[in-house]
Amino acid sequence: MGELEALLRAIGRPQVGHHRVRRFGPIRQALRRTVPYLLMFAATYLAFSLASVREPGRMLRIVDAALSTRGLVLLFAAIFAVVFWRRRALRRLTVANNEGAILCAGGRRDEAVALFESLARRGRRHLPYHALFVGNLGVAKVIRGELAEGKALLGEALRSRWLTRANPSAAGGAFAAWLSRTYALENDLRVARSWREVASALLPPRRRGALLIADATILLRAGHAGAAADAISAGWMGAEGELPGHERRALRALHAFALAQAGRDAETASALAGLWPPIPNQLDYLGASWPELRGFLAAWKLAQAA
Amino acid sequence: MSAFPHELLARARPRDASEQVRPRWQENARSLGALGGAVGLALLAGFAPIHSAFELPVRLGLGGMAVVLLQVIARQARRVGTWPPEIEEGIGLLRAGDLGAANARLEVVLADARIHPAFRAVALAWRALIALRHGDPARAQDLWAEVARSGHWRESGLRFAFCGVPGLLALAAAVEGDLPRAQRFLESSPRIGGELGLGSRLLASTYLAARSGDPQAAREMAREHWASAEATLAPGELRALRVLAAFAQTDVQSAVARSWREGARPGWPGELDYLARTWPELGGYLAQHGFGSGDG
Repeated sequence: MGELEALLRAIGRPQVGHHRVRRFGPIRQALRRTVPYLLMFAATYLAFSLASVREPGRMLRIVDAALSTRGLVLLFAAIFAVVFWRRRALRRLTVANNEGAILCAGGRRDEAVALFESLARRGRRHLPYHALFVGNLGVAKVIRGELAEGKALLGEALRSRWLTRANPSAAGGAFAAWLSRTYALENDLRVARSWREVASALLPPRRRGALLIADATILLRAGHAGAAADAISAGWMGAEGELPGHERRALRALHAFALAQAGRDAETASALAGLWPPIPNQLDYLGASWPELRGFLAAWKLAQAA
Repeated sequence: MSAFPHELLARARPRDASEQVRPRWQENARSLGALGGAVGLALLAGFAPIHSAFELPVRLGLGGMAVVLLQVIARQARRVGTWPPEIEEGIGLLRAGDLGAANARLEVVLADARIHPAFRAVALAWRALIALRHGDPARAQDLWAEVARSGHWRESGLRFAFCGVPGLLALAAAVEGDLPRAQRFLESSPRIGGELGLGSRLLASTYLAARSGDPQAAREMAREHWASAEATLAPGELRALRVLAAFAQTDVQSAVARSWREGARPGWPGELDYLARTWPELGGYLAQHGFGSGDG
């Protein structure tokens, strides 16, 4: 993963405190997981050592009270309550995370950014998940057209390594694919291809749809419109089921644009029909630094309005 | 959160044991009982007045039993936390249009008694959708009734998995031809997951409006809530919504009607035939525009 390190070094870190994901080494991680038990041990040990120093009669009475049935029950209840409360809070955060994905998919960009912003703030202490929330905030920012900030957040989520090591949710691969697309949209094809390779290594077999968007964007930017159109036509059926609504639409828009560039007008019309009815502002980010695509989408919207 | 209508809950249980799900309250009662047993054993081990020569071994034995029971509870808790990969694979296959393979994957989940009942309920809900797509709305409603009875849809962490049930249930009743019942299902089912379930509700109400002779309402509904539908529906259901919106257009040759229709082009022949099962007008429309599975 030396390549990943080099790619990440090129992306700046986000400035806001809660946008930075803490990163723990393996020892600290293991320690964190055992903190409640360590505390229990420390409390018992302290109590016994205090009891053995001076005034045995008085101290023993205190320790007796602390280690009596009631004391132990209280101690266990307190630990149980803390663990239970944390799990409950985390469950709320993940439910909100699902809702944020829906907001992104429905084109409600500002609400999505606000929601993920609050998740990144509230979820700072839930560590593996904080990386997920920050990465999703990055995706929402990219969708809102703030590509530079979005890249920094996506990079931060990957830099923390919580999502790239043995994570079954494959969020790391999805974020790498988003980075690849974003670089391709900005016409930085060398970096886009490198990120594409990273995403390809991280994504599991049933999540290759995100790669198709990255591939198509890179091909289109490199001027191979016909190849891009063929790639999307070939991969459409598989990608359609895997991608969320807004990414499906982005892929459709790229397909229509590629077909139009390649001069296949009849197919362009049928690809554009898949974008009906239009969702306002949803695809603006595609054309944020790509005037030709912006012009194409604007012309299509004007045609629809007429 | 309210409950599903009694009319649905009173449906017969599926006869196959693999399609029956242990209800949530039973599952909770079992966990609570196990926890109580573990605590009781631990207390006995520590404080029971044992006046015999075997006091220490008896206490150690009781403590050991308590520890074993706690291990069982911990394993149960871990079982709740792990989402079976077969469900995700099944959903992926279903979305890609391979109903047979998706059904087989979900069957694996249902046949495995070690999988937590909440996940078995999820698999059952998806299987019901497959039955509906196969053109068997009655069986789909039976399966969803079992899901509704099990109560696992109340689990807050699983709302996203059950959010489509109320809308699709109403759609199944409507596809079967019983429009008033579909309307009742739509109105009195709980809104699982709030906004997440909007897409499937929209699909059902568009179907109802278009079929009960109010195409204008169907048109407006689909157009107005399209963004939420696109965010929450799978491609197959989206195509169904598109074809209903196209059907509801007054001028079949207009550009708008053509756009709706082109976007609804089915992923494979006959994909949308289940919608027209008891609705010949829609069947004629599908055949006319080359959507049907017929000889075209």
